[in-house]
Amino acid sequence: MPLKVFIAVCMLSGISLSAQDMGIASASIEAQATVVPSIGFTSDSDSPSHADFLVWGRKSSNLQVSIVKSTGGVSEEEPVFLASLFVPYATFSDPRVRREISHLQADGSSAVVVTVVDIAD
Amino acid sequence: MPRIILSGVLAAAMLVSSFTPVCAQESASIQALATVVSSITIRGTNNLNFQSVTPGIPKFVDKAMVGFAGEWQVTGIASSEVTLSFELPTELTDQVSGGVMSISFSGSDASYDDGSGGGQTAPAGVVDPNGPSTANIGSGGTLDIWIGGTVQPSVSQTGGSYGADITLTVAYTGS
Repeated sequence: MPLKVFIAVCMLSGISLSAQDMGIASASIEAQATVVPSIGFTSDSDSPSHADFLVWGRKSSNLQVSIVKSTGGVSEEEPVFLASLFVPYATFSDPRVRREISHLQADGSSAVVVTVVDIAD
Repeated sequence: MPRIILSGVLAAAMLVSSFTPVCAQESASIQALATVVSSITIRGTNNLNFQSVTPGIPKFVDKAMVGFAGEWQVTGIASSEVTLSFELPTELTDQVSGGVMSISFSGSDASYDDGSGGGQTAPAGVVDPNGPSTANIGSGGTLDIWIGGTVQPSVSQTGGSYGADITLTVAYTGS
């Protein structure tokens, strides 16, 4: 007898679930976004031949560029200057950056670190 | 004494005879009625795609932007009312970096068309995805739903691919 009761309960449960499934349904989609970093360099800028580099960011953004050069373990920070990015992807070729990079020593004893920050309008 | 007994027997016999079984009986039946509704189905047919976003710059995708707004298609009983319940994320996650990015939905960021409107760009109605709402399945047995939204990448947002699920549940109201 207990077995019959158990079977009956299972059958009722099955009916209930089936009825519920028929009146409700759900489905998911995904919200997707790709964040593009506000600044980027296409190539290693440790060679004078790569003084130009690609910058990406928002169109018409204003950039704050800082240059830190180091030679023989001594770091020297150049005055910060501003630049503009007129298109989302642009070749960035500022004479000040080019000048510093051109001073790099081929033996690796010097380095230039360029930092570009998208600043508010 | 025997006379008394005889009288008692006779009285008992008369009493019993007065309870003659009633042969006329009536019965009536009622029916237990239930209408089993046909199944309702829903499927996601387009993701909510913000494409590329720039740190510090919010980006909005309108529900009417074909191919970019999120989309579901519901099929069920024609002209029946259903509830629309959205499960909305508050942020998108980059599985690689673990970074998160805020996402929000306004009260007019979802719409539907039951066939009486002009489709995604001119839907039959607008619904608030932040709360349950109702709509009717169209006379053709279908209901299309779209959703837009806004992501707010921070100025220091890490680059990468971000995502999160948006779930829509539909259920018959019985109306």
